[in-house]
Amino acid sequence: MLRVVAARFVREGRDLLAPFSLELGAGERARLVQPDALGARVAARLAAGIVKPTFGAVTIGDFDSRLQPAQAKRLVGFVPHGGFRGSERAFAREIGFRADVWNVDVGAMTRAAGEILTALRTVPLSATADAYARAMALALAPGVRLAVLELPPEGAIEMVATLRPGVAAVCTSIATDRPVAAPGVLVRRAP
Amino acid sequence: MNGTRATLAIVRREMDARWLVERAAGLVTGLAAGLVFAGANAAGNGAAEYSLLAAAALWFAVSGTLGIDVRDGMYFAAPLYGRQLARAHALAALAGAFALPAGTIIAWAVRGTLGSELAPGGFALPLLYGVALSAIIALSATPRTGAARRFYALGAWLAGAAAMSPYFLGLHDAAYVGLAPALVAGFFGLRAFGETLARYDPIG
Repeated sequence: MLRVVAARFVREGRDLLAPFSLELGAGERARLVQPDALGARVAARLAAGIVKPTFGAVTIGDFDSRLQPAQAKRLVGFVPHGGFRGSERAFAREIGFRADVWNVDVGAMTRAAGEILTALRTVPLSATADAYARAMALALAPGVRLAVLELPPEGAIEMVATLRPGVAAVCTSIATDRPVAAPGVLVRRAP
Repeated sequence: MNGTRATLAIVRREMDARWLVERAAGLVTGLAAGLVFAGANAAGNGAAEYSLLAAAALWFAVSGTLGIDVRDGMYFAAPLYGRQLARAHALAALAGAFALPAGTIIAWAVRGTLGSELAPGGFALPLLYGVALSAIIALSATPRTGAARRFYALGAWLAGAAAMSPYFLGLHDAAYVGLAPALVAGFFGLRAFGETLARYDPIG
């Protein structure tokens, strides 16, 4: 579902992400450990096809994120670090917007988002959980095949496996058990 | 993938309550200007009033376009091409920019001068394509910050003014003289914006 081959991200001559490779099948999970928050953001957005690698390649499903970005991103549910902090009305509008963009039925997407949100609210993720849970519901509702969680609260990636067992999931985190070569990506697969 | 459905969804997303209030204010301003200002005739009478109207309409087009949040992370996470995003943002920008000229055109219709304003020597066409060009070029300012943003915004205003200049210079068939350059500049402006979006890496 996700194949990253020697991907690097360079901006203004600075390596924000050291080369890393990863192959993830349906239902598998991995954690990309980064030395800092910027690296974690870049790693997550690279895995989601939102930013393109300066060197190397990212393939989502059968689609190269650089050559077929729209097809690749159609398979991805990206959950940003800040979650979704809008009102209930804004949340409903966002569901409608995503249904239009992913070209899925609004009613089905509303039901899916509601079910995911209900399930997520039964488990205490963290203090910031509600905004993150709503972002997860929005990301997973269109029926994606890869979930990318940017700096999620504890337990969030496990919830993806519970809610959508066939969906591959990647999350990023900041290293607390130093030393981690900086910049670098440490890939940890879920057992 | 249904491109039209996605495009309209993006346009609707930009048209929130604040957008509607600002466009309504523009419409009323344009209406008042059209009712108060007399048309510029061959002797140049009223040209200053129309210059003021043009300046206000261009400012309204540029400032309204700068309010479009093209850096919204959702747009880049969604299954959309850069050119799709560019077209949708351009539609939103144009819809916003036309509010003030629409008010003026309504006022001209009320005054019974719309026919002469739509004629080759009239101001209706230059006003419309001038603000459209400004809005399109101002889109390239939206992903940028700081001095680059201000530079593009100023460039957008000046491009719109340049497109209207044949009218103020009193050229024969002025409305048509500025049209072709405005269309060409608008096409390349939109293309440049699409390429900017395609290259944009939202890591902030």
